[in-house]
Amino acid sequence: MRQNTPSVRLSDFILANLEPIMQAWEDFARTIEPPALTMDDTELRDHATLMLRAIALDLTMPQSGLERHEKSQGRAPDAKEDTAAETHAEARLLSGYSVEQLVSEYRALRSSVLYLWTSRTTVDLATGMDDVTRFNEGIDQALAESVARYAKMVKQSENMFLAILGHDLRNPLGTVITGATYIMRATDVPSKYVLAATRIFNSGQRMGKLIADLIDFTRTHLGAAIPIKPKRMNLAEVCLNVVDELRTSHPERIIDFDPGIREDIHGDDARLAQVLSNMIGNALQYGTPDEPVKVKLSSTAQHVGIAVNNLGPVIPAKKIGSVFDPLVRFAVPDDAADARDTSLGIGMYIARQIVIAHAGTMKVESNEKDGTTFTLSLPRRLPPRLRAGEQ
Amino acid sequence: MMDLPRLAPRDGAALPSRRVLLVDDNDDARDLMSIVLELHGHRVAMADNGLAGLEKARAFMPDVVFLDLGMPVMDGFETAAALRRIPGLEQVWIIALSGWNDQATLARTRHAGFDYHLTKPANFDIIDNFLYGDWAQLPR
Repeated sequence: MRQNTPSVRLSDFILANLEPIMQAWEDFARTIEPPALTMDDTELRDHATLMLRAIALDLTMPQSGLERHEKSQGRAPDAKEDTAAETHAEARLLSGYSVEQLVSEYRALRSSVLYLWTSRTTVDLATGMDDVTRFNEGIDQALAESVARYAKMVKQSENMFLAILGHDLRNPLGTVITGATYIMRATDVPSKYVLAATRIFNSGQRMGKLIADLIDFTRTHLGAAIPIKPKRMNLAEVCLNVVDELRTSHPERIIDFDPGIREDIHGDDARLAQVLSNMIGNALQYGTPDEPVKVKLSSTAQHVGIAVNNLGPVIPAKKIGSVFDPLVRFAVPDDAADARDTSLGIGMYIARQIVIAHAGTMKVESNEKDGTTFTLSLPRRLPPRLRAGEQ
Repeated sequence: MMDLPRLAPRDGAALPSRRVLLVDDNDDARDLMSIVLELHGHRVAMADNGLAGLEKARAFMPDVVFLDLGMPVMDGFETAAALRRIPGLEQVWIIALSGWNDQATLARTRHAGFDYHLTKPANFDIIDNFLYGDWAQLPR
């Protein structure tokens, strides 16, 4: 530190030296791959200048201890409009920056400001420490905003990608099913070929359901609820239809059905059929093949319940928390991967989202003695907020 | 609301033979569907884009048009609106046949003048039921 230069507060220094700071930062940014920046110099500087001005302004404001703590945790109050840090993250994502590269820019910004400040001015020890702390908090806040926006956009684009993939798959699948239908209905074809066509048709139908689940998944895992169209419906009847359908497509399996209730409830029959189809399909997939899958309806004064039980391998305790969340399940690599992980398992996620949309709950229990049981509970009457669209 | 309705066939009447126009740029899907429909006794004409579909419609005068939405030259939305303006086809049944069934697409098809919306892969039981059904039961 040179003693012959005057002492300058950090906020004043930043505002007076934006040009050399920006130049140092831009020089750094240009060393980051990919070298072909889609942002031009002006745009690049605009975001950085706005961020630095905001931080410099913030440095001049008094700040309570609580505010400081919150900000250091990256939880400053959200502004309605996009901050410069958020806009910057979007531009960086479009330029093909990785999240590491985005973070390294902030590291460079932090070090170039602090280096220039300490090398060109005398820093007053009493106020300097406070300035640096608050400057770091400001940079961290901007960094947190940038990373959050970057992650959100990546997630959105992945969702969009999956949704388009799902819709694209429906075209060729439609052709497969039409072709199978044609052979199934032909009268001049030996029955063994009709049987093969029937299997192609059934597999096609299953694929269609997987695609529908995938599309629902992309729509809901960013927070949107599954839309339901509630009306008076008979749950036992809907269950019986689904059970019959699955008995037909799995003739080698036993599905026990105990319709414990007769009264109507309020719900979306097509969506609840989807729930049941996913639950029983899951039980058929993971249950021991020669043991029955048991479907049981029950009721209390306020609620109706459906339990679907299978006697398959017990779900390990560490995995039971993630049976409803396919993304969490795949986030943890498992070297002892079992058959459970060979399918996406979106079905149970969708089932639970539909139950939640009906103001219901869904849980799972798994042990050696009773096997695995998925249980859902639905209110007999939907809460008023869900009855708005009732037909 | 845009789902194809379940219809009963007319009592005692022979199963009707309908004039069906298929417009889809996916050759496999369109050709196979026409084979199945002809197997069921309907008369079928085909086109691989909306503009060609309008041309066909003028000559063929279909009872029903199955329209894909995303097509080159002229998409399904524009085609549906243009079909309605052809003299004699004001009342033709126009059914969207698409992989998309999200709320935004459904709103667009309704607005473009489609009567119904079928999501691919379409169930032939539903299509048969509609084509063989008694259209007098349908609201216009």
